Amino acid sequence: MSPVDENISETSVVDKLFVSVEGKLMRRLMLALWLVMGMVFLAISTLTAIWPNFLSNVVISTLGAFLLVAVGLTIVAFKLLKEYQPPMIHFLLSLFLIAFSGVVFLFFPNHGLEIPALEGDVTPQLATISLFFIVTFATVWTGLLFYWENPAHNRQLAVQYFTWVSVAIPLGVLTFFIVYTIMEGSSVITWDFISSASDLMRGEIGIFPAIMGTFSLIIGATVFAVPLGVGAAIFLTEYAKRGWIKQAVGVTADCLWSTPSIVFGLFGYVFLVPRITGHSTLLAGQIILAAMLLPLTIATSTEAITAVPDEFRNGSLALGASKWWTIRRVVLPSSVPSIVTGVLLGVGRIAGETAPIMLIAVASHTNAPNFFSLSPPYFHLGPLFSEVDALPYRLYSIYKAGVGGSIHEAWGTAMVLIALVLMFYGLGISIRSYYRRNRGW
Amino acid sequence: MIEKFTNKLSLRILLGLFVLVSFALLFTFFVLFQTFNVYLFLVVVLGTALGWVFFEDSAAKTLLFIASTSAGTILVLIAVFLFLRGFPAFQRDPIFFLTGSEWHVYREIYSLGPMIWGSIIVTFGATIIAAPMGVSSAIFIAKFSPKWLRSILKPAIELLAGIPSVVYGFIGFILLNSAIMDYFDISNMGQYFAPSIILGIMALPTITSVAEDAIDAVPEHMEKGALALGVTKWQAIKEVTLPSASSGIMAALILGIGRALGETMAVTMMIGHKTAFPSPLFDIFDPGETLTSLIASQIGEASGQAVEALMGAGLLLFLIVFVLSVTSRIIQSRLQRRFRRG
Repeated sequence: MSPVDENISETSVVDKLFVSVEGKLMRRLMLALWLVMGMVFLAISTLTAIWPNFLSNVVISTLGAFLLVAVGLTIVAFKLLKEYQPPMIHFLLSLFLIAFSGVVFLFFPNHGLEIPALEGDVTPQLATISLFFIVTFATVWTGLLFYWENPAHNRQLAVQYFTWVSVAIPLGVLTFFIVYTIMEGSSVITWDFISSASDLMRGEIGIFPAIMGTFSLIIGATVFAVPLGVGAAIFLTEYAKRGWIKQAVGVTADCLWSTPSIVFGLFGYVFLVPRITGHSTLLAGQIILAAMLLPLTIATSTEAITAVPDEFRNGSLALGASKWWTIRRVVLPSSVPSIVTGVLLGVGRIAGETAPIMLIAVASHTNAPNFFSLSPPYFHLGPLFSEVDALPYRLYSIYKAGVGGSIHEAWGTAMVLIALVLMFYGLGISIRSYYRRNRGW
Repeated sequence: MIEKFTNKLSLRILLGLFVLVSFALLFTFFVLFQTFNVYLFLVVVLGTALGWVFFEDSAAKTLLFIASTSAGTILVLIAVFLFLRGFPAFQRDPIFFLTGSEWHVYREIYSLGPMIWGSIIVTFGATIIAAPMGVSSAIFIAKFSPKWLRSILKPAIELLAGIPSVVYGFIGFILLNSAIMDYFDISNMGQYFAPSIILGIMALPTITSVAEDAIDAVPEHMEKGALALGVTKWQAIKEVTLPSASSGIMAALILGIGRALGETMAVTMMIGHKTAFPSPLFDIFDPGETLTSLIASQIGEASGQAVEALMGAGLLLFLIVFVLSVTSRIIQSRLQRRFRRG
């Protein structure tokens, strides 16, 4: 296809008809049509969700006709009006309709569109699915027509809206997941739930050991991974002269990063467990999580250290400082914020890992690891060599035992886990943006 | 004699060699004989401390070099140990192990055919969902979004990758699985269909961020040149930017496929755990099993040959993902080289 669009055909009668009003009337008509349709569908979906027998035969057939006419008119309009500018509201509305019917689809499986006339043949579920697919189809189809039949400028708009929608969908899902988890979980979260252990005798639930277990896992992983990762990054950026060393480390870090988490679990199971006490230990979990954190630390630290301007190094070297002195006193301090951000984001990721620690570090309903005591010796290493509980594993073990009885505990755990991850991400991202705004170069 | 000994260079080399040899011994003992030699460990620590005090520069350089080999060491250890434990399962009857249709723990028949097929179906479904959305959102973030929106969108996409897979699995299990069961009137909870959707969402951020990097890496003057000829921005993107970034986008897709293939917990929680081929073969509403969910759900109770077979499955998974990520890396570096040459 040539880069410059040659989609200007000779004018037909219909074309003239629409051109004579300059498409203005038609444009407004379309906008109004889609707006009204959106409102109607919204109202009906809400009403049926609350009151399943709301719809009668008349409403259904009117609605069907209305939908058909709207889709038909849109198609005709897009086919004929070469100059038609799509109102963005059309796309927003379609997106909203898809999202809304999706929500109805998920939440009201038995309260979909009831069609009395077709009782027995069409279940309400089927009707809701049909609504979902009709709306999706109409949107996609009008979008495609719009793309094919229109001059270059409109194509640009169509693509823009399409990419807009494809960003909005995952973000919508993300928001939905977070909001839904908070809605379900917030009723369970009390101070006791967070700060105490489960007491099965008294029927109390608490996830304190799991929170402490997760924290000791990620702190240990950070302690192991950060020196190695940052060291590797320094060596690669400051010392490695040949390209192939960088390439080799880059490739291995990439492979390590994309290695499935369950493979890490298997590796820990055959390599670390026999070498550390022979049963599941916190230490094994920390080491395996460190191995998962390592490639990310290498990547982000390399990026951070490369970003330090060469003038800094040259200035320090010109003053007579040695290479290592320059690295320690000039290069590292100026790249610390980026490194911290990278590590925080990585920690946010490994905090929720279940598959690797499932086999090698955790057991449900253990006590919180207790490293400190008030009497000598004040510090204990014992907990390193025993099992811990962890938040993601707690969630998985609730699922495994059958969700029925303890669904609230599960949602509470999920909410705390999400909050933890959000905390790390928020911290990392705010450090990064603060630093970007305030750095001197 | 004394002069030769106090010659700093040789002393430095001697100390360095000594510490390195003891470290190598310590490591070898740990890997081969499953013992952690405390004396050697103390020697290494003391030697490092001495080196740090007297020859900080070269000690630092050596330590940094060792740190830079850590990732490779871990990768090699993973490969070797999975191979040692998993290869016997392949050795017995490789063709049956990979293509047979039965996995019965009680009858001790192990073949991965259904699981490989399940992985293929689920990954394919996830790719269908994630690829178009991921690439087009990458185009949006790189080309259409204003700067302030971009600075919000990129962290948000990162966050999408950060939500733990257990949480994805749990929400998917509670909402999606039962919704699909109700709507399509199916009696079984876990199918190939529901995990595909969730995996699509989980693979999306990988695709988006890598593809976005690739699109961003295309030099701006190329697109500017096209714009100067009077084309629209989309035409410039379509005819100039995307073709130049196509290999990077390819790499993003490959990485996304690797992510979906290796994802464990979400699949384990949502799939039906039936270790047989679906019938008919393309029935995505049948309960099934993938390689990852097989390992995650069975390794806890497995013993003897079953462990070997599961290790074999892990080895297979590791090899596939290894090949995928090396391929994407090669593609990416080719792209970089092309733009560096102009």
